[in-house]
Amino acid sequence: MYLPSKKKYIYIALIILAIAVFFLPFKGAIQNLLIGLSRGLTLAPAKTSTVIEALKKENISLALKVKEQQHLVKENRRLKEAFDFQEKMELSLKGAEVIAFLPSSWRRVIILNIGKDKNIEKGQLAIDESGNLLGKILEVKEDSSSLILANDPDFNLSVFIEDKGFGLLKGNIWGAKILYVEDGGSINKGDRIWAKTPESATTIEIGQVSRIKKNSNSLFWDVDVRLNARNNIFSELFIIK
Amino acid sequence: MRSNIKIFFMLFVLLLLDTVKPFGYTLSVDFLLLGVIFISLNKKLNISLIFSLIFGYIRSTLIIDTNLLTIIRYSIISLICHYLLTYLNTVGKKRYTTLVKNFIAMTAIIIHIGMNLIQAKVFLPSLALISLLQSSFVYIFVSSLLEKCNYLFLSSKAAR
Repeated sequence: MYLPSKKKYIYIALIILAIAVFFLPFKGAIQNLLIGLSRGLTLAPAKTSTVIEALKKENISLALKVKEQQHLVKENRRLKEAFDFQEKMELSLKGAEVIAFLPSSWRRVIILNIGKDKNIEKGQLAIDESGNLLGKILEVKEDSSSLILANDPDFNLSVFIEDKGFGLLKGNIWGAKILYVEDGGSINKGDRIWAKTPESATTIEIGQVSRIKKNSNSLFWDVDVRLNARNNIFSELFIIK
Repeated sequence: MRSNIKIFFMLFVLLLLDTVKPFGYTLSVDFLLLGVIFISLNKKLNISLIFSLIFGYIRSTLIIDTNLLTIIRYSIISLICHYLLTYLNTVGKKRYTTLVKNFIAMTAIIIHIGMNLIQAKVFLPSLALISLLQSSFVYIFVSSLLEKCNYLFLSSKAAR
């Protein structure tokens, strides 16, 4: 039986090592050579490359224009929805833009670009384009105002649960809950929660009951709320005047 | 001096990020806190204390219900970071030092979350966990980036 000598493998390994060591300093040169060759093979003539470059630039500018148009379409749709809601509910709305947030992840307060100059008052409610409650005005300055969102721990508003009961809505960052609900026996999961606007008799939808439990140590029921306005990124909203 | 200007600029940008919130409330991270932790772990105690006090004060001016804790919160966190850094031995391999610093940063983030939960009078374990994870990831990413760029001349001025 023929058995190959171990020396043979040692020689082969040494040769490979020698080749590798010899060619190692030329690695960059070989790489450049290969890249140059491939570029020479694939590159189009100078005139064609100029045309391609111009087309690429045009393509980028068109893509940017399309994005801008898409943003405008979205904004237009939001404004149209808000206008429809205003017409339907016969409300007087004032559009506002978000300019800043409170620098804390544990508070839900935003700064708006309108204030006393647009007759904004403390306690006015803010809604999104679908008519869902977002929060209420906390503080008004000359040309800006602070809006406390419904899920802020300091937010409170008296609300109704269908026509079955009422209580005080309080935020808890994750969502909200209704405090001081006395007669919760008839309240079910999914019941609609709404509030009356201070200025008119119209109602605003807030959310739905997500959980209800009777606390044995308390007179009141624990009602958890799933808010309708669940968007975490705001750009514009509407204040009910 | 140049290093201090850079620290000021960095913390100012982080404060702006906190007020602009480019990701809205989807990202539950206090960027300024991460900056304060970073300078506490990489700069001298007096420098980090001065900056944490200045930026704690600037931040508190933007918050509605300001109290003493809001102003000195970052200074307390800075002190805790320095205490832990002197308590834990960071002399040794670079990898070990980075590990210890990241551990201290996570501890500081947990303390900050605890303070916020007590102040907000809510108990939200899921939100606390999300905040801890997001803050830790952002801290590790930003600190490794700053160390790699040697943005604050970290090699020339050690924390201790």
